[in-house]
Amino acid sequence: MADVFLLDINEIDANSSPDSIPQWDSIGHLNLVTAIEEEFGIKIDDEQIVQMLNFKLVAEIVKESMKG
Amino acid sequence: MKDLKFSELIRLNNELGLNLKEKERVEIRILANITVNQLKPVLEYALRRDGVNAVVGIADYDNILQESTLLEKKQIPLVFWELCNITDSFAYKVETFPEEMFAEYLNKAKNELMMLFGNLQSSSLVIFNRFSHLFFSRNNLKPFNFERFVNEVNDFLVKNAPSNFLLVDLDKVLAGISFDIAFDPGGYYSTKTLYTVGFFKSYAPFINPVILSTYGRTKKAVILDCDNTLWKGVVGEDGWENIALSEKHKNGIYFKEVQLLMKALAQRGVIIGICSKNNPADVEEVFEKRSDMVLKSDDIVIKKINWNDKASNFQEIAKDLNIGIDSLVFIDDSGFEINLIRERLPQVKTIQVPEKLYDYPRVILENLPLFFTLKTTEEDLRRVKMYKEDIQRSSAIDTYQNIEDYLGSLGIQVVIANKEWDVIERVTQLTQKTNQFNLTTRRVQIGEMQQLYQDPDHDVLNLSVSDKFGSSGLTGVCIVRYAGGTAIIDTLLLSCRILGRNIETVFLREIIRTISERGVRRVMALYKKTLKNGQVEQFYDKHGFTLLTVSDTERSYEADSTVFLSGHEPLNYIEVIWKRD
Repeated sequence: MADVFLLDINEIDANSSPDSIPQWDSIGHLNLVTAIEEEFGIKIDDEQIVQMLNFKLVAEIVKESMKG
Repeated sequence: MKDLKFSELIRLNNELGLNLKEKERVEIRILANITVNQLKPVLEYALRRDGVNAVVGIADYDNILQESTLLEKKQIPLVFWELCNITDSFAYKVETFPEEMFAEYLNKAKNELMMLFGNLQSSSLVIFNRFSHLFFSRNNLKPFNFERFVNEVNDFLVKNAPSNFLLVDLDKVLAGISFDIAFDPGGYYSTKTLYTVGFFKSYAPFINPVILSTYGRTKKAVILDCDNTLWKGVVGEDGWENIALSEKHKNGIYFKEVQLLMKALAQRGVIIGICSKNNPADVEEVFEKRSDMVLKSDDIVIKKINWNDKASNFQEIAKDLNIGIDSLVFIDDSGFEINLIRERLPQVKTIQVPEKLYDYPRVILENLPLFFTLKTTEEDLRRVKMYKEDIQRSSAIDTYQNIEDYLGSLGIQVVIANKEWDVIERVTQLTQKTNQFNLTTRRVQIGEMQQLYQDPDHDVLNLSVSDKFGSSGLTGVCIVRYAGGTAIIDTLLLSCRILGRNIETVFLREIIRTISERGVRRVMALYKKTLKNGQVEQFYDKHGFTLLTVSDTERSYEADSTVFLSGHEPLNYIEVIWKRD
């Protein structure tokens, strides 16, 4: 996620969201989904994509997808 | 790039962008009726890795026709027009269409294409993807409607596309990967993202050579080792009769096919050279005595057969041919030699002969885009011969006492013409390819050049040189702009092939004479520094121009045409011929 938004890892915390990261726009979101799918070898479905509203939720969705 | 994760690619792309930000920007604007935003970092990264400060912009989604009217002059449009999305679900709807509806949609697509051709006519280069139906048709034995539709639009496209259009065959991109990697079915429905990042990673290498060639970055010469590279075996040990280079000997076929590829390159104007640690006589013997050798002595422009290290040889080759080190490609079987060049001359593209020899011709085939040029001109075809003549000339120099005697003995003729339409393509190409003797390095595209030719306030001079050894062809260009009683030398360039003969002095005198004949006295000129044109930094100083301003990147000058002509007599050993219509 730090790579996609060109940030340092320390600049991201559980509450990081499109509101706190300017690069996290709709295109950034698409890039984030692609990068996560590639990194964890998972497929994130449409509903989950819409729910990824901050870093904490992103992490939960990744965990969920990896189980399933 | 294939193995690079998307997140890493975004990070690296950003870093490369920062490193290159001082360089001239190359702007590409993507017009698309699907979502292709992820192509931006991928294509930028591919080009930036080759040293091009590429900046990719994405025009408004699904607005190709309107966006095509809003392009800025320097932007290169790249068009993703997917017929499956010309209306919602078109690829499926079209299967239900009666024939007249099919025809109606077909007409609409053709009309829109014609409009696009018109809107983009002033772009110097348009990269346009040919239409593909494969995503929707690959299991069909007989063509369904969508396939028929796509084929008809493609036929129309190929027949009617203007000459500034470069058509990219997406099916070739697809052939290099699999459908499952290329196609994002979920993404297509949620965000109209038809293609995956994996597809774009395979797509970018198709676009790179096009952009590189526009900016004079195409490779110009390929230098081969001999033993186990041009042929199988070691000539110094096995003897000329036993090395394998055709069907006559085991494993010879691979080397024959590589030689055939080299021969074809030579015929397209790429320089073929040899750099080998061998006894020259042994190598000569192969050329003389092996009739089954595809490459003949005539095809080889330069030979460095000695025991010196190859990095030094490469520096000499670049110097002898008067081309940049970064225009060279090196093929060798030895890991040692390949690594040496990679370490010492990283600008040289290296290709190692693969271990499995059956891969050898294919590896070379896959590297041919390094030599891509948009248009092969007549000059390209004659270049090999011309470089050979140059090398003969250089060896003749030694036998004359001084350089002027030698130049006098050559019988040099310079032919100059103004706005000669027959050669406009070559004139344009020279502005794009010439790096060293180029005062302003302004790259002009064909559309712009046509406008300059028609503009009475511009002169566009071209120069050709010939001597008793042969013709160097069209090798010089000058663009002069007239404004408010002043002549501005906007572009002045000469191909490096003809330097060292005072042609530049003669050309400058003829340029000033042209200006003077218009009754204009005040001449302004500019030198713009680039990485490669250091040799002409003092050009105008040497010719008596007055230096006005100096900065790190620019020097500006002025001169009086009348004063200049009275101070510069024509050179008696160069004959100037003006071609007038």
